[in-house]
Amino acid sequence: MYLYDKFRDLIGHGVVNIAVPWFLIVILLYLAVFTCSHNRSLRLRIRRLKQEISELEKISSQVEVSRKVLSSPDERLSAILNTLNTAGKWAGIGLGEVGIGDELERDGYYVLPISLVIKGNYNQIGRFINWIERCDNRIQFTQIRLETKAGRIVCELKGEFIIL
Amino acid sequence: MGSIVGLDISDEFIKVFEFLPGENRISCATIRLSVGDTASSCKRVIEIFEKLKLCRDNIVVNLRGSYILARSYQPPLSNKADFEDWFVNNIESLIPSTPIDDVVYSYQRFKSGRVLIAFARLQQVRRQLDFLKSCNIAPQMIDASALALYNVFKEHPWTKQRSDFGILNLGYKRSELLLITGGEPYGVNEIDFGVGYYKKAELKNFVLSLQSVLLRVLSYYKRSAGLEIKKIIMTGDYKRVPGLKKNLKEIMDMDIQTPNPFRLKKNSSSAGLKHNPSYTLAYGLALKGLDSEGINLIPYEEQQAQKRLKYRTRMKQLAKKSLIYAGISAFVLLAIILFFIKNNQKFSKLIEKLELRRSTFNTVINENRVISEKLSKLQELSRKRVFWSEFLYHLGSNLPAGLYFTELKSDFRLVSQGKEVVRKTTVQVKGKAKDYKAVLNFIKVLEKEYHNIVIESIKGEGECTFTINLEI
Repeated sequence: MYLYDKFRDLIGHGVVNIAVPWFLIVILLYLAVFTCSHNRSLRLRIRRLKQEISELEKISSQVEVSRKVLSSPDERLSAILNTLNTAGKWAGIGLGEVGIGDELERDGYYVLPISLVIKGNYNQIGRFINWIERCDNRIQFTQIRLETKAGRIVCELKGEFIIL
Repeated sequence: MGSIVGLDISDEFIKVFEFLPGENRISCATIRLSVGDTASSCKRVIEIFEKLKLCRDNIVVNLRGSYILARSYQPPLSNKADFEDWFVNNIESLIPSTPIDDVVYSYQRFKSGRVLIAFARLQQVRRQLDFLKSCNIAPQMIDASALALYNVFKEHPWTKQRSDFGILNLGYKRSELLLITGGEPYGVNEIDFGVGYYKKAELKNFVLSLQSVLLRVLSYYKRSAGLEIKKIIMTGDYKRVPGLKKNLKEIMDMDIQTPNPFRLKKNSSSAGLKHNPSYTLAYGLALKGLDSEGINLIPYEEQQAQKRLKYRTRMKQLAKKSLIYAGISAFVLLAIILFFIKNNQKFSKLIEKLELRRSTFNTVINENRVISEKLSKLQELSRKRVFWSEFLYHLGSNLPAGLYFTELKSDFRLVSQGKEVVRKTTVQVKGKAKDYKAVLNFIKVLEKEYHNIVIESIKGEGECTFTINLEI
């Protein structure tokens, strides 16, 4: 207070009495602007975080779908048989012999060798293969053999179930 | 603007006149002074000021006495700076036999180039200021004698016509004669004669005495300055002497008028002011306060002190107002700051929550990356595979009439193509046809889509069997 009084005497009461409150106002104004701009930056951050989270939620749901596509190791055989069975029903043919071999290592991934025999007419066999090729690209046929026996076509298919 | 007070101070009375410019409010009063008893005089002044609630900020007073000199001169130089040089050099000759340090002086320049100069003894000015100070009055200006009458009669036709005339302000014991020439004040003369003498003499004798005094003064001015005064405005306490105007007019053979001064000014209300010529000078002083220009006999140091005081008062008022506005502004700003601080706290908590939620997705992001890699690998493998259904459809739909398959089998082998190892798939088609031409047509169809077609065998005449190898 002593210094303030000295300052007032030096500069003049009126000037100091006007200047000091307004100086404080300027500080308050600065604080107001600072808190306001901080508030703005926080709001922007919240908006960005919300956007990020919504994108992550989308990715999460995509991952869920992908998880179903890439079935777990415990469900591989059932997945193969389920696909073959569904395709057979759709094509209207019964499954003959089905063979699933041991896991083999390929270039950076694993496969399960598959062999199967189906009987039907040309169209039914075509529909069977088409269904599998469309619906599950993990089953890839590498060899095909069609033979006519007793008026029906016997189809031997060899392929792989890709494990990723 | 606030109200203005004019105080016409003489030895016996103080005549007070207050008016508020632009409003119909006036106050006037006469305060009788006790000669030699300053305390009781002061008391009376204070009482009147309190009773009439007179303003103390804007007061103009006059200073009377034989020690006052007010005259206009025609300086040789009209330039302001040159005039001031001339004034400083000639001041001692203007007030002979008085030391310059004992004198307060002031001057006013007129449009014509003439300069009205007023002098007063410093001691006398200080005495008056001390008296007023003891009455809690700090005058804004001190005018010389009856010069302020000019402010009242500025709008009078004689002034406008630039006639030479005098304004006689009759007082109780002393009177003043202000001479106007060319529409500007020439000088003011104190006359040791007033209406107080009327009690002692008959009207005729009183008029004759006044005539002789006036003639003495007028003849002096006629001799010294060549002023021929034939018109006189009479004001002041002349009403105390009934028939004065008529008798004086007859004796002096002059045009003597007693106009109502309050009707000459537009800014005063004639309705509110009866013709009371006693207050003419006080009114003139108040009018001087309105302009704040002209002669001011307040010593320079006092003027500076007054200015400082005024400045401080103004600054104090300004500081008060400023403090109020600053307070309001501070309140509003604090409210804004508090609002934002609260809001920011809320937002910070929300950000913490959102970041926590985002962190739960870290495993998903990793998993997504792994899955994406796997899916792209699967897509790559899918791209390279043989679509058997398409192959079978193509063969079946383009099969010529009279041709059928007996066997179809595929085989694949790995072939190096540059640095890459690619899978080559070959298909062997066996079948029967009704004739050779059907086989040829079939081969034509195959040639459009496939390459490396090899006819392994075609046997038979008429119905024939065939074996064709092709690469897909």
